[in-house]
Amino acid sequence: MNGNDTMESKEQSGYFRFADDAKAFVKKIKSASTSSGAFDTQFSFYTLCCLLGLAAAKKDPSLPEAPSSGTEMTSDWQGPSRHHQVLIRSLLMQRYLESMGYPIGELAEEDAGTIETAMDTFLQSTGSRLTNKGMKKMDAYAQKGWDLIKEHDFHEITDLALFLTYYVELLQEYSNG
Amino acid sequence: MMPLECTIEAIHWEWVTNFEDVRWEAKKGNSKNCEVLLMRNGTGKTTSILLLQHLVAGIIPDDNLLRRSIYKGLVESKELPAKGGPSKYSVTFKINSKLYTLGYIFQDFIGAPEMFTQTPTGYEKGYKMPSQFKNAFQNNLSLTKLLFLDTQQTGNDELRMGKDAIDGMFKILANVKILEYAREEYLPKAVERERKKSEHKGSAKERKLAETALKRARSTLRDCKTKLGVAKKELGINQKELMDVKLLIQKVKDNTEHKTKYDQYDRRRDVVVAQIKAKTKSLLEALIDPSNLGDGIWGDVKNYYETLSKSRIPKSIAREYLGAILDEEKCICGNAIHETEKQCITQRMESSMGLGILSEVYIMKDKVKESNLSVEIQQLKDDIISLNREMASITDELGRLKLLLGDDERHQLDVLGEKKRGLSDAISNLNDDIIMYESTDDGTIKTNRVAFCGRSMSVKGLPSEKPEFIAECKNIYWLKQIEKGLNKKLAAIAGIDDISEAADLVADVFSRIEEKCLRFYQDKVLETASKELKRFNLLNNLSIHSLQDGITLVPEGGGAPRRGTSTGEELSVIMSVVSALSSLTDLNIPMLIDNPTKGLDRVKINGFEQTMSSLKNQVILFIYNTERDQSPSFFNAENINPSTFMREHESIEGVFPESPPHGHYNVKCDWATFENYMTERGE
Repeated sequence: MNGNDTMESKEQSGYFRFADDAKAFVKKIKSASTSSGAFDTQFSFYTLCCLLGLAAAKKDPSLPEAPSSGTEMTSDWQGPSRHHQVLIRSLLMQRYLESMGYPIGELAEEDAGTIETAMDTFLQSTGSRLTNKGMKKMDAYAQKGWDLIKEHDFHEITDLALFLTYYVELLQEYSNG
Repeated sequence: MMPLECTIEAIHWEWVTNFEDVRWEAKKGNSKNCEVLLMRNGTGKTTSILLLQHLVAGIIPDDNLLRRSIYKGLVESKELPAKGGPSKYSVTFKINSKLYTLGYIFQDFIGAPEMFTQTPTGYEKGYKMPSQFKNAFQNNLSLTKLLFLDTQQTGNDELRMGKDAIDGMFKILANVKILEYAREEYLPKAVERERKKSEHKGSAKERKLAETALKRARSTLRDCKTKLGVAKKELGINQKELMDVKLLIQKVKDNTEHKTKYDQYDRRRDVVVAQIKAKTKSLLEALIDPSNLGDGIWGDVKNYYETLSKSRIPKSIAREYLGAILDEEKCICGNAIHETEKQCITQRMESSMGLGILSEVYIMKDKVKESNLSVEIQQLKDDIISLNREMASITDELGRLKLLLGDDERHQLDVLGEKKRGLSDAISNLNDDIIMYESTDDGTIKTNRVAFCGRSMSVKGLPSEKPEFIAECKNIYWLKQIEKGLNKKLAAIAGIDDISEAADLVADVFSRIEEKCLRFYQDKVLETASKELKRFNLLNNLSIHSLQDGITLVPEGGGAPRRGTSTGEELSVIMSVVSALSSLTDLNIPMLIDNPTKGLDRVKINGFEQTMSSLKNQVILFIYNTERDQSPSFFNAENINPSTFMREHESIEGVFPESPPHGHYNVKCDWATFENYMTERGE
């Protein structure tokens, strides 16, 4: 066995998971058939929820449970999110490392080993580039975003354009706070 | 593809539709390539075109077309007690300088008609056209529908300009349809034959189970294909009906005294709807890009990766060295390394961060560094809010206008509005169903696992082998994967894995060739057809967006791709595509269009005239007198050869004697008759 084999053997193939009521919201927007259109893919809405969750984690790093088995969506990035996956992963991993006690001001050479190990359990070089643990973390941030949307009753909206304008307000509230 | 020079030399109707025994012949000995056949409406033009589409493709007409073809003419007007001879429809082609006549003989329009070919060497039963002709047309109804255009079907573009039709046409033209057949039908059957002949290695029970599952997969696949066909047909019907309803709504509005206001608000509403859609799309796209999150979030990320990557550099260099040593099996001093050294290096590498991961961190650092706020989210949001306000005000105004209408008009608009909503919902549902049946995108299928595949796909994305689970699948691609898996399993049981794998490889090669040929045609035709289309000056400067998902159009300055929706647009697009096909291939093939300028405004008629003048291949047009009168600068001795179809006792004004006989149909080829005959009177 060579080094490459060893590395490949570590690769995992999990699934992004998304709450059923969030998936139902995407369908609701679609079937409402308003003039502003619908989400291009379910994954786009998942990404919006995740980014909102990541933004909100700056104020409140607590995370809800990731959706359980049976809510699987896809094993890889989809739609327009695919083009931004590196940046989304970057933000996700930064939040993850910060939550482990490595904020920017405290990154030190002597912690390299621990950080490397943390990254190793979070990223991989094939598929979604996220290990199962990384995916689960992303699912948890998406759940956090979705919970916030529900908390503000934005899940009752059926028009995409209107929803996005409220979403922007919510995002700005957390981004600037 | 072999070169094909083909023209239509004659069309012979014998006791078909309204024609008794009429033979039309193309003019010989002049350089004009445009033949114009002037005839009244209801003569049987559309049926003649449908028959021609089927005849050239070598396809037997269905019952509906057979019913349309039944001779009515003088029997219906009781001038004749019965038709005067056997019913035939035949067309004579000149193919690379030789004459071939291809035709149907109708057995009293009950059951399938017989096909015949008169070749240069004699009469033969069946479709016996030369190979160049067959290669282009046989079973290529998509191509013949483009070439022999029935304008009554324009606007219902899904069937003619959809992905299946356009891809199918290109695949036949590129001679790769046979590869698709080999890949999908022949190779699996050949492997199955081998399997049945072989000595079985696995248990009989195992084989039986897999065979039952395979049988179920195939029957479910057939079922899904049928349902997909039905859904597509219904979609076409609903789209056409929706267009009709929209036209009716427009008509009701046009007939009210508030027409001008309606036009004004409707136009503004269309613009606002398009803007809301476009801005919403842009906002959604912008929000998915994390670099638009603003400095509050993204600024931290940029700095974080810069700092992080600095402290990793020495290790990454070390790892790259070690990786290279392992790959080349040589130390940096040049000496070979052996198993012990390799193991040592591997262990060291394992204890460090994976190379892939490290490179991922560097990609992240670079990407994050390069990222910039690309779109002003706040601006997009404000635009949408202001457009929504405008939309609400337009809706109020339209509501107020409706209150000013009479009860009858209001009722009509309510009923039509309800119908429009119903049809739009039905179209949306049918589109969903079609995606469910024919999606091949792994992500889409897995995201909709439960709805698309039921229990035929496990949570882990694996195919089920239980027949009752397989029957739940509604996705053709996934069923094919299941079928492939079961075939492999049976091949393994039969001990013919190698044959099965070889067949898979060949199928894969064929599939890639098909893809390449398809892409070649799509790219080339797109380029040329786009130039041709510019002649038509379509509304919003529509241009051809792509041929990869059928023919899709896009307005100047962007927007969502769509298909042509009006008759004029579709006609213009088809003529551009056919013109491009002729100039790009060695096919010099005829086109036949009925009512070519129907639905075209003056600008598009100009475009049509220009395209006609520039087409190198033969064009046959079926027109009536209003079309002739709209384009005097084209329908003249300089450009066309005229033919006029009229009954023996009919006057040039299109008037019949007060009492029969009206006489048989004749073809007159003089200019005086063509220029003066009025098709819109009489009969």
